[in-house]
Amino acid sequence: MQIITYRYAELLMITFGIVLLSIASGCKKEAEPIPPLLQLLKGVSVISGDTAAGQGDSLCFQVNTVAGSDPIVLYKIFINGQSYKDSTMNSQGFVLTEHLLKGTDTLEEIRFMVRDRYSREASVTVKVTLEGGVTWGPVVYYTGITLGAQNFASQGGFYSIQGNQVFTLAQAFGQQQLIDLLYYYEAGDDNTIASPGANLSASLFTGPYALANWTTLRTTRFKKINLSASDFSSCSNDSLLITSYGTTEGNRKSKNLASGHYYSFLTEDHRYGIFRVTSVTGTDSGTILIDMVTQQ
Amino acid sequence: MNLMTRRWFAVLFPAMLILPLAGASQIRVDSLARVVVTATLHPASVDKVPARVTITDSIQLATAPITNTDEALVAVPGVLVNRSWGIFSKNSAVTMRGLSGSARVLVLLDGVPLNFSGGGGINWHILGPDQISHIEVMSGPASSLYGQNAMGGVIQLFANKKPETAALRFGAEYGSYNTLSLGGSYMQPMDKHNGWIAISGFSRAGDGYILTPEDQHTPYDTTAWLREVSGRISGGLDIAPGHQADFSCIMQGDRRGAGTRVYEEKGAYVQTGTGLFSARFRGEFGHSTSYSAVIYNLLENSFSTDEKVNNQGIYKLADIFTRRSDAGGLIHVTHRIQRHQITAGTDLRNGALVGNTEYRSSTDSLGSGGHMAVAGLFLQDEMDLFKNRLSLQAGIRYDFAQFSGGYLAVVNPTSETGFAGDTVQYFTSNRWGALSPRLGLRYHLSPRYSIYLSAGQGFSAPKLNDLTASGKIRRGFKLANPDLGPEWIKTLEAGGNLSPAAGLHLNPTLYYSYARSLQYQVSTGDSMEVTGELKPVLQVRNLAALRVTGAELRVEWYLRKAWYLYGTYNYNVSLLGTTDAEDPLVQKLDGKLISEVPAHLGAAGVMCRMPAWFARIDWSYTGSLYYDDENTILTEPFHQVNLKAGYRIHRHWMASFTIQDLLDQAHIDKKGLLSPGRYITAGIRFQTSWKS
Repeated sequence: MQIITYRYAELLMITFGIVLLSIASGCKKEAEPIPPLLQLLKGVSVISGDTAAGQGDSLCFQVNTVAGSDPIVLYKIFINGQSYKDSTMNSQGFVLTEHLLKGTDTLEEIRFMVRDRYSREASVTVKVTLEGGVTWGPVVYYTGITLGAQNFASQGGFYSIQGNQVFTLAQAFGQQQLIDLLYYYEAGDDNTIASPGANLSASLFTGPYALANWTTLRTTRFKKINLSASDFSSCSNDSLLITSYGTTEGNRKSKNLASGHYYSFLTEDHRYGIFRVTSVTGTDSGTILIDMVTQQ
Repeated sequence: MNLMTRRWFAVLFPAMLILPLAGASQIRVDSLARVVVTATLHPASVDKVPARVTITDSIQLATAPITNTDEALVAVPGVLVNRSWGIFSKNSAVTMRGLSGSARVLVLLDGVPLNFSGGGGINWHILGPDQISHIEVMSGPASSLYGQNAMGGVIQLFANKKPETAALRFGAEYGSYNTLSLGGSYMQPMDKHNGWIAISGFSRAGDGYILTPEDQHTPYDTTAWLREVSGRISGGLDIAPGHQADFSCIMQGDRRGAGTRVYEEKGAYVQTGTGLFSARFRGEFGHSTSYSAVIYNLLENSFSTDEKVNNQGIYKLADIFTRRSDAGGLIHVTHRIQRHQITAGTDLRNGALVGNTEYRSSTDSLGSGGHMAVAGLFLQDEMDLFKNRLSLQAGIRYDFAQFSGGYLAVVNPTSETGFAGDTVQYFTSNRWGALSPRLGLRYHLSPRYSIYLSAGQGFSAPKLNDLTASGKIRRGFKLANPDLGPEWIKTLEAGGNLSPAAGLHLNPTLYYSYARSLQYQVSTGDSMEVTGELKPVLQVRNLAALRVTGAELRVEWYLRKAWYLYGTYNYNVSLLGTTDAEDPLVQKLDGKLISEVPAHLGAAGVMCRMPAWFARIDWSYTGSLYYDDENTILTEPFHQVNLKAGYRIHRHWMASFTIQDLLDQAHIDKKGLLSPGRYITAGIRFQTSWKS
């Protein structure tokens, strides 16, 4: 009986050893991972290497990316080390056309970067030297702009800076290419001025003219700033508008607006501006009153 | 599933009602004069130790309608088991005596502490209920013997046991959500050196269910699936007459879906691998001196992928790596001198934590880590006075704890983590000392009635996770607090072991605890964007005080030998007292109830066990509790009815079925996610034993 017992023990140990060997032999060497690829495409009117540009000039880049072993999850643009644009995705590759504006810095290093799922990275940096001096452009003030929230039928809530016009939803539907911002009220974000290209709840604007049915959704980006009323009122050129927005990308919504708030913005057609809230009623059928200074 | 459930009921419920009338032969399952070791570190009668100790024996474990070991503790008064997703929960939080946080309950496996210094909690999946022989729960602080973590109580699981005969067991279970479990064990005693060896294994896989309530579904919700495997090898032998050695090696691994899938093949998930190696030496010198020495190494590697689309439609992906390890040794010697039984010992432990979060959808990388070393010395004296009518237990322990090597490294931060720039912070080392005395008295009014009174102090060093780690958590953004200090609790309790009739046991207990410098997570007043919402920045700080007042009652009735009935109730009020705190953010919590602790907990059950079959039905109640420190989010109370029945279909074969949440009342947990609702499994098991 004792022999049987030891045989059991031996059998167990052999089985255990076989299992360990099976696990060890099942391990195979993994292939060397391939990082993603990023390049700036060459072409007419696009920049693919170091260049010089004047202040406010449009810089056009065509960015081509290809995933390596793993999908691309992050695409970023840095300007002088500051994050300018930040997009997340899960992509095997894409081609994007980027329009940037030359700022006031003597030298801007624009870095395009992609990362894959395991943070393997590819990037290209372009140096853009300022051509000529820094010049500032004229500005224009629009005061007493009244925008109605989504349920205020008679008061338009869609605004076009070009021509300083306010539209209702139905009117805006026919002028989609002009609409820079809109106003709504929603619990949580409360009073919000957003761009049509923002990620808006489908329940805010419904019917045949709902944003879901628009073919052109312009994107204006906003940044909350601290400003005094006198600084706002005394802009003689666009220097404050450009410098207050800075080089990082703003948000597509300016939320929880209250009287006295100041926001710097950049429209899709590269127009800088600042608006201030002078009064707000705070319901989905209420209004917001703003003043604005923008590049002429 | 509903149709299937109704059919099961139609067949099995009448059978359960009829079978007890058949008058099969009876097996007594009374547990009078049971022996426990947790309260004294050596075998002592549960009715003699001046403390509240509750035993869950092998029969109760085998018949309990549970799928994980921790669920058996629901029947212990004052124990809150938070496993709201059933077997699909990535872990369980077990708390006791009105204190929140798993770190305030020490969990031992055959004397080996399972709490990680890193986060304080334990991996409850390390051993399944089949692999546990019995459980002892000592309620109230036990730091005079065990040091840190033993503030609310001590739970000891027992698994290492020499088999009387060779035995083979294997079985399979299949159930709701396409869940298949396989398990088996083989035990072999050996004649030479009185040795033995045992091997057991367990695996489980299930498709899971969608955690999000139906009205909140998003396109990214997916099932919280499960893959789990564990194995254990243990053995022992006599190294000399009267001296034994045994060892245990456990490896457990699991991968559990988190309920979200956007792009990743597996979606968001957590993968954990845990290993525990321990060796124990014990024996006696003569008839009056015994010793025990344990060494152990506990290691856990976890990896999780968190992917989601936030409510602004932005994709977020992050990988989190964590490595926790604890190694140590415990030695104690017990010596009897006349009426005194003196136990002295030492306890050394070194814990380490290394964590790294790689935010894949941004450039942020966060790393943190640190070490916590604890050394303790303890002395205990037990005396029997007045012709053994009065039992006295006095103990004292001094612990020295040192936090060192703490760091926080931040690389390429963005608004995702909120740090201003690249930084590497090396935290200052810190040291603490803690004295933990305990005095207990039990007076035997008669052989059936005894009362006890005890006073003790418990202590817990801060957790490495709270000292060093920063990162997003569900409620907000948690910030490391390297200045966090230890916490202390003093408890006074009184209770009785009353047996007014044969087989009937009533165990009432009253307790009052005062905790100071309580480690408690509070809002710092700052906020940051987390998954598209503005959420509070949180930090664990030393709160001024906590006052816990509570009462427990456990009733057990072993009726007509085959029947077992039990009921437990716990009432608890845990009030924060912060008037003497300097921090205004802490002061505002004055008079608030501690979060995640309900005022009412209850459980009841009835079991009938015959040679050929058994049936058991359990009910549990968890009262409402506050989820947040400011007492603004109150969860709904909930009941659960669970049932298990088994029938011996052949000499070696047993069929069983288990229904958890019989009434299918899925509840919403503190995270706003659903419990699995009715969960049914049916299984078959082969079991045989033979003399070798």
